[in-house]
Amino acid sequence: MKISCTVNGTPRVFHAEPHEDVQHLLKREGYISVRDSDDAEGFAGSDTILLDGIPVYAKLLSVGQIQGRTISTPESLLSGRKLSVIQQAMVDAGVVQSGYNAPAAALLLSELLERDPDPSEAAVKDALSGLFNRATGYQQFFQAVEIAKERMKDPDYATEIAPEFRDDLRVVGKVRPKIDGTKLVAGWKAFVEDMVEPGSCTLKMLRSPHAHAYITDIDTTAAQAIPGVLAVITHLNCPDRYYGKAGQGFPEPSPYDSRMFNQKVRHVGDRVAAVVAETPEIAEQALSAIKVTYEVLPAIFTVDEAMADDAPIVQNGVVEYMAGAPDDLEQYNASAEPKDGKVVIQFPIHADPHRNIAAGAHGSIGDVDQGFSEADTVIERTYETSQIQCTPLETHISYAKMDGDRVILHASTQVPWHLRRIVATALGISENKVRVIKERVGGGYGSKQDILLEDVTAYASFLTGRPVLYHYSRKEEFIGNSTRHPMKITVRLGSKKDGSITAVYMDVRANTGPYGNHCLTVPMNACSKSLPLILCPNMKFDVTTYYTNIPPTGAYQGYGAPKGSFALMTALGELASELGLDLLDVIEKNRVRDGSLLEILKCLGEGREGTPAYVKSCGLEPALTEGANMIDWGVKEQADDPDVMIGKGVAIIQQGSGLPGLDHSCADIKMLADGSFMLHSGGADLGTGLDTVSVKFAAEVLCVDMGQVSILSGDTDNTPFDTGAYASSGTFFSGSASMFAAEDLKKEILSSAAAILKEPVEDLALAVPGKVVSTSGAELTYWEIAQETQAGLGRGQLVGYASFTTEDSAFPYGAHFAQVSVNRLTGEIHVDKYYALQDCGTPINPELALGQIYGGSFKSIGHTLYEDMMLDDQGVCQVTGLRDYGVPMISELPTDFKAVLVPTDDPYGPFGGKSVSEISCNGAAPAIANAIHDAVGIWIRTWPMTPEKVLRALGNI
Amino acid sequence: MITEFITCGSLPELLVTRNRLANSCVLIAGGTELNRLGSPVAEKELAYVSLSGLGLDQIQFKDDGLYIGSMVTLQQLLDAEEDPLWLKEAVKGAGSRTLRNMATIGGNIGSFRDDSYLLPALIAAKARILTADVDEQGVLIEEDVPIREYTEHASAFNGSCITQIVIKRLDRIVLTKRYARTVQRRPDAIISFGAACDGSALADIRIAVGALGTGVARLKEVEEGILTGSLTTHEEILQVVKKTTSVTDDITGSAAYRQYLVSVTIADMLARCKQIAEGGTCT
Repeated sequence: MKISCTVNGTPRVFHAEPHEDVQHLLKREGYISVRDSDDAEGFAGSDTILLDGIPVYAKLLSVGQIQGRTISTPESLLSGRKLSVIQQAMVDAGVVQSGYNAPAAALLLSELLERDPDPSEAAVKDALSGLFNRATGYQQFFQAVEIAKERMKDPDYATEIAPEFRDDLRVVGKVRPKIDGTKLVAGWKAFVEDMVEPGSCTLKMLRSPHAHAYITDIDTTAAQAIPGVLAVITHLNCPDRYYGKAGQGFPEPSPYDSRMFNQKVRHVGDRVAAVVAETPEIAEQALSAIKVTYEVLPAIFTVDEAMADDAPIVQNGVVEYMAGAPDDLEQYNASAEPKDGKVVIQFPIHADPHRNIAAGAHGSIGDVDQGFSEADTVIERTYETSQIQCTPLETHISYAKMDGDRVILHASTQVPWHLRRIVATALGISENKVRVIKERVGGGYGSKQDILLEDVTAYASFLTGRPVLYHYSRKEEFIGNSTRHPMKITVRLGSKKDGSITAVYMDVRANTGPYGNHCLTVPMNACSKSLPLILCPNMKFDVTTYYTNIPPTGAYQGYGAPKGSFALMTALGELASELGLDLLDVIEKNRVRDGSLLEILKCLGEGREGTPAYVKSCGLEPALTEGANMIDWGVKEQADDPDVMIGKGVAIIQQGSGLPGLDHSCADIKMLADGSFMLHSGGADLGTGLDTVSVKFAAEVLCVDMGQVSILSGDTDNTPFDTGAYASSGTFFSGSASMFAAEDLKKEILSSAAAILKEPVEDLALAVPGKVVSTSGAELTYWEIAQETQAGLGRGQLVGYASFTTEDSAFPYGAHFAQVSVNRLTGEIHVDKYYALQDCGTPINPELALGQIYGGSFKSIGHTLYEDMMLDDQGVCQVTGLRDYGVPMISELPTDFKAVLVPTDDPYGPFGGKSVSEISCNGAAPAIANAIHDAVGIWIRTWPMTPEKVLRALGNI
Repeated sequence: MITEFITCGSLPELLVTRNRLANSCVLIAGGTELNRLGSPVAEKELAYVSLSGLGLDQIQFKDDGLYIGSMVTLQQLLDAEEDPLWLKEAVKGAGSRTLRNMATIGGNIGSFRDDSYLLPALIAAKARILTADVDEQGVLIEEDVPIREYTEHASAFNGSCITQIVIKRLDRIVLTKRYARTVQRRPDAIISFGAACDGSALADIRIAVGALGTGVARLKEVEEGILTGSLTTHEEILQVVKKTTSVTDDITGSAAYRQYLVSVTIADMLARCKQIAEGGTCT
């Protein structure tokens, strides 16, 4: 049909099929900022447009509905390359981070300011009520609107966007726009989907309807006969290689327990067959033409079921070790089932796959039995956490094409180098034949650390020679994405009457699901990021991870820490209650401090021997003091409604800054012919502002404005190696590499200047703006140095390089306070106040750091109270969309939500910086659990803490 | 899948078209139900016949009540000064302004969703539905149906063309509570309680519940029990709710939890309505 309408002021005529939706139409016509995050659920809002001036979801409109109408897309907000007032305000406020639906947010706020130039917070909430923003939460949108509304009256309006730090530095610790903020909020080409060329093929996946089954027969003849089908890949014709998909450093602590396709399916949604076809429609048709016969097996879904003596075995294949094989391995493998394939273990991880044990770890310090015997009070409690979806706005996507004999992979990934290694391994080619280009990442949160679809996309292109796109549907995210491991954690605490803790024991039972991605390290992290918060000479932990048939698990922001923190900090609350002491006093009596030796870390090396570490900076004291003041700790609040009780809770939290001894980052920086700089970082900015961190470091060292430094990152052909963006490594590792590369270049600049000026290098220094000054008074600009060094007889282009590794740790800390209202009659829980006070050393990008804290805290409020992947008794996920899964939206914001930066100066961190993002996920669950108890006297020990659980605990039902 | 998108110049033309295409077409209002993920018509080949442009997007006060065109969006309902507060409260159950800009009152009623934002409140308010059809000669036939009849005999009205929703009893007290873990998540339960004031007493009580998995329905036994005075506490109400509703466990919670919510909320609403009636602030 022919559709006439006006788009962004231009009359347009489109030809479309009647069933086409408007988002699809606009996208194919080049309005690329109109994205899709929910497959027409009408929820996430990435597809927002204005229809006759009113915001609507384009994916919910059929093309016939726009006949004769006027459409505005986010592209309409721009004047040439200039951002609109609201777009610029969003960048300035730090709310544009992963940015996938930032253009839609700008459009919504633009419409709001048009109809209400002085909107209240309630009006902002209302305007954004149909927009999902996972990265930064929503709090900073209020500030963005305030800035925009003032600038609309006075273009020169300026305000303090965030506190600034380090008076001795020019750009580090200062509020500066995120360097890719403009590109993201404008909706320009940035994401993998924007790189797809016309004529590319589509990959679609046939997924298992059974939680546990053997494929006894698979007939793809009819599918392959459909015109336009290029390939059908199954376990019968895929490469016969086992490889890790966990995206960790090699050798991985995660077992290689799957091929590209397996004869055994181990969860509902497991891969069965991939179809590569000319169009999505043909691919769908081919999927339905594949005939599969299954031998269905009994399935298990919980740790308790996996532990049972007669439990079905999820991974019953042959076990191989690359190093450290046990002596009885042959005997162990005698009972293996060939159809189960193999489990290849890189080094011993206490695995016993034939008893459903994927990994284990055990350790202790001091004498725990003695510690408990000395205690006046001993409590033991068990806590359970649930399976949580990462829910990035940009669902998983991979686009592969061939360049001669090389595979070029456009990826939305946190780990370009691990991805290259794994794809090369899967395809059986050397790494030089694979190039990974990390595009902007529309939300990762850990799930884009795992290799979920890139292997099969790359192979499809390698096989067919055609460019191939594979883009997960939202439903696939729920059944084929890695998630937070469910855990059952038992904590035993021994204490003197005054609250001094004498012994701590943690028993962590983790559920890794069908495959062992991160099966050792996530559960260990539950201990390594919680136990060191308490100074106790007697500590012990046991960690065991079980295979089951739930959807896959893996990395998620916070890793194991949110679970361990929930268990330990809630148990601390229960102990305080038992002793009749104030929780804050018990925390204060036992908490970690500046200078503490974290001895327990010697047992928690994540697959290698650990090292005890000293705490070189700890901001807990000011964080606890300020937080207690903010929330009026100790004051009992009264609600107007007699059925509503108010309570307060607190938790202290910590994380790491990368993995000392394991992580490795490199960078180089070149002086260009005019004295500006090109920085190449291996770091993978997944929206958090890592590229901005790197540019700031280089600009600070080299005494230039940030605009004089450009950056290319995460391109395996053109930037040096980096282990990737996970384990809170960005600022500390990748940032340090950039800083030291700039320091290396600085030496080169000074050395060259000394040669040109014929003065001793000791007499020279760099100075703003981009020059070398001598104690003699002589000066050379960078332009002059570049011209000289790059001239015909010059010494060559000046280049700095650094490779950063360390054994030193920089631990970020935080104190999170919550105040909740609990309705005793209905069980409803409302978060009235949430204060997240965090020590991230020197906040390198203060406004972005605040966004990270808001985003992480709000995510974990969601995990604590709302989000729920419910499986039925056959292992089928009962939610397939964002709405019913229960992600929190702006409507769920705490009434009073504040993130506070508590600066410390860490001697190991670059410019004193530490990590900030992941730790933010660790506080909500225990702080809210403690607050609920304070309100109504009950302990909710499982996620999510729902009204029904409150009512049951109160005995109402 | 949409085979054709048809727009019409008048209501009779639309009805003639609808009747001509019969089961191979569907009426489209805002499109949020038909075009959404998991739409009940997603797998069918249907022509869409659009209700747009027929003047059905007006809200009018008339001598005998408030007339709301079926194409009035939920956001219009929220913005309109004419609407009673209880209707605005019910509309807020649709937590997304963007969605409210698209979804229409007629579409929300006509889709008969179990978790309908508006049906429980409209039943409690004793609203009426005006539907339209044409006879074989193309003459317009309008029908005025009580909303309770419309919902109780949903299959008979499936596909009917709603033109207006009429609220005549504007003096009724109507309270609605929607329980959901997040504002936009599938609700655990929706309860609406409506009553007229007979002096300082309550009369003509209507209680409707939704999101229990069985379609929006009246709780007639509870209504009668309250009017006769045999049900006064939530425990008493709970016994009747358990007996008269068949609720199953689902992703929103257990049946026991949701039946508890229904009963405790009805008891609370009853108390509040009595307070209003006794305070003489009914109107």
